[in-house]
Amino acid sequence: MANPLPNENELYERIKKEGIHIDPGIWDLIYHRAGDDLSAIHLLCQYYLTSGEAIPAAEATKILAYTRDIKDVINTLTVVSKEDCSFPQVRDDIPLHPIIREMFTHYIGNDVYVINLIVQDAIDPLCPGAVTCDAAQKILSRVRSTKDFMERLRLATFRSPRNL
Amino acid sequence: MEGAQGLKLLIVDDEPGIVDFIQKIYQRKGFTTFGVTDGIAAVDIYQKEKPEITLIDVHMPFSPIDGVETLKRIRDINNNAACIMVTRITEKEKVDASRSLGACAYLLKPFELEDLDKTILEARQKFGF
Repeated sequence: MANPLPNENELYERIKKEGIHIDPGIWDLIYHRAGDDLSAIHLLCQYYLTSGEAIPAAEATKILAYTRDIKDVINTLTVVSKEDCSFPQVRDDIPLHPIIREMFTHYIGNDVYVINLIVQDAIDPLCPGAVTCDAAQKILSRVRSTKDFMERLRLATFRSPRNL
Repeated sequence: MEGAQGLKLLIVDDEPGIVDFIQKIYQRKGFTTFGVTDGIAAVDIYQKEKPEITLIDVHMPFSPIDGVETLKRIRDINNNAACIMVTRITEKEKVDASRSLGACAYLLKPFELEDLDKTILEARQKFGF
C-alpha cells in the first residue's frame, strides 16, 4: 500500500475536529467511476491468479485503461488548473478541502501509479512479456489498499455536520 | 464451486470489463453465464434463459433502464427470481428500493471475488440450487 503520510493520524483528527466534509455527490462519482475500475482490475487479476497463469500483455493493457480512468477522476477533483481536468465544473462547484486533495493525491495517486508501473514494466514494448502472478498479487494489494483508503476517508467525512 | 454445473448466471453491468471477467471466472466454476451491459437486454435474456441467479448493477447510466427498473421487470416475469443487486455504499435509497422489490442479496462495489463467491453461495442456499 501507499506509505502512510507521516501526519496521517493528525489529518484524520483534523477532519473530525474541523468537521471537514465531502459532498455525497463526490463520493458517488468516486465510487461509481473508480469503484468500477477497481472491481474490474481485481476481477481480471483474480481470474489469472486462480489458475496460476500470468496475465497476457493484451489483457494487462486493459488495466492501464482502468488506472487512466481512476487518475482522471482524481485529477478532476484535485488538479488546480482547469485545463488539466476533464470536468472543471465539478471541482469549481464542490471544492475539496486541501487536506482531502492531499490525501486523494497521495493514497489513490500513489497506488494507481504503482499499478501502472508494474503493468508498464511487464508489457514494455522493448521486451514485451506478461504480468507474472507475483506482480498480479502486488496489483491486488494496491487495489485493496485504495479501496480501504476510500472507505476510511468516506466514513471520516460522510457524516460530518459542517460543510466547508 | 461445488454443484454449480449447468446453473445459469446472468450478469448485468454497464462496465463491459466487469461483465467479461465475471463471466470467465464463473464459466470456469461450471456455471453457464450470460452477460449484458444494459437492462433491456437483461430482461430479454431473462425471459429466454430463466437463469437461476441474476447479478444486477444498480447504477447503469449507460443503460436505458437502471438496475432497480431491471429488477422490477425481471420480478414481473418471475416473482421468485434470485436477484443479487450490486451497489455502491453511497446509494442507500436504491438499496431500499431494491429490497422492497424483492432483491435477495446485496454486494457492495468495489468488491472482491471472495465477496461475490460468498454472496452467490448464500443465494444458492437460500433458493436451494
